[in-house]
Amino acid sequence: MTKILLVEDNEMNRDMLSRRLARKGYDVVMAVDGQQGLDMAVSEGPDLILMDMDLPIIDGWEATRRVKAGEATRAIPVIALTAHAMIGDRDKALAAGCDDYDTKPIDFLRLLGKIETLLSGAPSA
Amino acid sequence: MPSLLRSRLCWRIALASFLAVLAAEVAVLIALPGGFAPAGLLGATLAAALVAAILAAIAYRAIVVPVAAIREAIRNPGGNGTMAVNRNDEIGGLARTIARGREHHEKVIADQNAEIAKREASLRATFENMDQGVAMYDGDLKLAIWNSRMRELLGLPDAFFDREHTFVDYLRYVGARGEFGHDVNLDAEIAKRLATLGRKLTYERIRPDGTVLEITRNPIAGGGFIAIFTDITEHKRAEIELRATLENMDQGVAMYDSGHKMILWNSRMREFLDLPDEFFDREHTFEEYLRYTGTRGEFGEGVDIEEEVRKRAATVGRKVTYERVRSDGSIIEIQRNPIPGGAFIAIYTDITERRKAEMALTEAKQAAEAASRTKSDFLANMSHELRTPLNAIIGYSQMLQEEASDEGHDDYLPDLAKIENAGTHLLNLINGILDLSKIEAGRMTVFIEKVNITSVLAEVRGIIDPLAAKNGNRLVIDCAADAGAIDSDVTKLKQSLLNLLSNASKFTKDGTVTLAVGRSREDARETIFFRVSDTGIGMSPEHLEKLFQAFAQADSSTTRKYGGTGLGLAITRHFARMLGGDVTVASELGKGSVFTLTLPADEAGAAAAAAAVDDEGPAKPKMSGDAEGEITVLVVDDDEVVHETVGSMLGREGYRVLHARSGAEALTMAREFRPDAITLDVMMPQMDGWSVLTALKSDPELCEIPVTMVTMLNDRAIALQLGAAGFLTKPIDWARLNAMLRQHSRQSLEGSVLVIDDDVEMRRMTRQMLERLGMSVGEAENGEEGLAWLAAHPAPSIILLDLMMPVMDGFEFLERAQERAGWNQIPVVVVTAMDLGADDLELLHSATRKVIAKGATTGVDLRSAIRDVLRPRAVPSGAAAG
Repeated sequence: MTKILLVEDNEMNRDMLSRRLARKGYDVVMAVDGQQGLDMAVSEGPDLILMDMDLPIIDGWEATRRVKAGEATRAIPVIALTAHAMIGDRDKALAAGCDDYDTKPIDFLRLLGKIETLLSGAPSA
Repeated sequence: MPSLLRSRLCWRIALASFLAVLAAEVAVLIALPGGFAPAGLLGATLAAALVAAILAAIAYRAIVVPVAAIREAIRNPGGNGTMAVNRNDEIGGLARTIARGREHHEKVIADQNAEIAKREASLRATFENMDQGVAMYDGDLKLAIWNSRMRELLGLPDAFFDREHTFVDYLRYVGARGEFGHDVNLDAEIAKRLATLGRKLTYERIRPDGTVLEITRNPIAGGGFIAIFTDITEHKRAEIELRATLENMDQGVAMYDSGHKMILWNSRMREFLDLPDEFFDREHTFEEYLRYTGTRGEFGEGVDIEEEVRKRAATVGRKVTYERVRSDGSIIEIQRNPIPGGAFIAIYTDITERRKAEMALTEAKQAAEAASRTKSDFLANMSHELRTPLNAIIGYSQMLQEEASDEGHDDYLPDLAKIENAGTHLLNLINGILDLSKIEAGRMTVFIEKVNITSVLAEVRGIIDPLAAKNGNRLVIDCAADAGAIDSDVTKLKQSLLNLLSNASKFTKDGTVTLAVGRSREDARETIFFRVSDTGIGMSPEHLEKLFQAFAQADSSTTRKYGGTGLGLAITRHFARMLGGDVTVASELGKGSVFTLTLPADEAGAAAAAAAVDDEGPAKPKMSGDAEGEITVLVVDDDEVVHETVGSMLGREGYRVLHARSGAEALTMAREFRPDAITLDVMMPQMDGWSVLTALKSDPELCEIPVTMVTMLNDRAIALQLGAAGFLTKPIDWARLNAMLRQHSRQSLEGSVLVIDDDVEMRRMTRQMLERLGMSVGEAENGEEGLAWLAAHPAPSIILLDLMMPVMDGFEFLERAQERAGWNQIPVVVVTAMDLGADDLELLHSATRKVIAKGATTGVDLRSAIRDVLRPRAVPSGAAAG
């Protein structure tokens, strides 16, 4: 089963997203802050990471940068989840190395599409 | 006829001839034979006497008579005695010569008399035509000479002009007329006046008819005197008016003559300065006044009073302005202006109220800033706080719909869908409200970048297709394949297009929604239009009127029937205008509507729009306050809340307020309106206050305007002591530097300059320029070396300071220099690079913060410090008196 690491500090968002992804057949593991996200990226070896940008301890951008810098983790595609598209957030995310991004509120179907695209190896938007 | 017998000449001749003849005859007698007979001697004597008489008679007739006649003629010019001597010999000649001489003499005298008469006539004419009355009293004090003006001015009865009346008579007369005052002892007054006769005296007299006479008396040799009377009524009136003006002024005024004596003042000045009466005798000098204030301790402790007096007195030739604090806490602003000839005027203004207003202004600004920050934080927080639970509502209801559908609980679906729809609607409403809120607070920012039209349209189609399909509508997008890109804000563009298209879809059933995109060119500006047309229900003219107003949907039934928030169009139009374009609409009830969104396609248009005034929200005025106000203040800030708050506060105080919302606008308005003061917040998120300040100070037309740099943190007590006497930008305009040096150095361009700059080339060029001006130059590579130099050398006349240096930057140098008593008086000209890069700006900002944080404890008043510093000053700002 494809494993998705969801790094999100908000409990309700985590709950909704993980359950909906699980129902779509994904194995979802979760981290609640940037540091844990990094650790789990190494220990769990997910096939894709959904990274909320607004995280405690280490924020999403820094975590993404480190993921992309780490030997074991740099190949994992990362989708950034940014809150209500602020100017520069998009660019910042891409600059940090994200393969794609989506804005909250999450349109589930849209997100699914992006996940599928990245997992199939096709170039992202 | 003269008497022969009395004529001495005749007797002399007679005697001489008598003796001669007698002698001759006696000689002959002796010589003859016959001897000397007595009869012969008698005969000889008779003969001699006869000869004598004849000769005497001849002499009488030939000489004595004519001579007597000549003498007579000379004695009595009226007679014609000389004419009687009409002889043809020497005496006649003498007579004629004398006669001619006399004629000539008479002619000369006649001419002279004519000349004298002419002069006398002119003199009298002058005398009579003088504007002044003149009178001369002789040694007996009788009125001997006068002119008619004197008669006019004094109004004395004719009797006084008989050359017999005396000065005492005159005094008695005017005394009786009451001109010495009433209830006075007349004799005493007269005696007093007589006592002064020996001296030159000037005094005034008021006549019964109100005329004011100035009378000057000059004694003359012989005991008399001349009195000169001048009518100074007009002059007096002017003087009274001047005094009335001076006394009614709100300001104190004092004038010092070229000898520095205080010769004119008004009572307000006396109030302000609180000097003992003796200073107001027109003999006391400015130096004495300075010395007095010095001994009163107003120059500070431990200062050399004489040195201070000398320093301050040396500035009288220049225009200087400074302040003094009175014992009751009020603040007096003193301005001294030189008058050609070495005199000067001092003007004293009570600026306590003005200070209070300034402080209130700062407090208001601080409060506005705090409120603005609170509002921003609120908006940001609310945004997050409101959206989070809504996302949960929408998300969970979506998830439940999926689960219900999967598990076969289709009957749950409609209710769950309602929850989702309500949540979505609420979310849209909240987004709309927050957007509008942001726009109205002036906090909606525009992010211009290259936007690919084709991809935007593709995204939009993706969202609108399902929406259009819901109502059975067909969505047509008509756009050229090579639509290219424009410079704009993609988020706002998308939001606007989505708004227009979703409206069209909502209000059309089984029809067509068309989006047509095209470019056009209007006066050298390239624009792009997005035309959304539908075949929907259309709108009535009344509806069209209120269309773009927030929450003004046709009626509440529309909301219920068609959904929507009623905010979309208002926001869309705001966005369009912020991007430099607009939204227009045409519609026909029952036929459909056409909305056209037009935007500039190029950066210039878009960027200009980004800075332009948005007139849809509350008006962002360029001017507010009291339009008739005498003092104009230009407020420069990118925060609209500040403009509103400050504008109304200043307006209430009677100032005229101008508003500039960008650096460019600030410069334009400063040039156009020449405000009296500018307030500038250096720490503005979107505008770099330092650049604005530098630009202001670099412009020769604007650099004299005092700029209050109000840099706020959350701390109330702020202090930024720049100690900068001026700003220059690189590359240095040497003429400006020259002018600044002249302006700020005490000695006229002698002395030394300390150049502190890490750029070697800069130091070299500056050294060359300054040495050419005759100044000696010291150099330092950074702030630390600068301080070391100051410690090791006598104080320079001026310091040129670069701000950006390693080891110790200009700010820290200034801060340290300000702490040392000897160094904080040295004028410092700050030299900054015009095009500061982002790193430099960051350094500046952090350096400023550092200084502010430290300065919070010094309690120095920001505004007076900056004001003093940005204005040419002669007296150190720390001193109180001057």
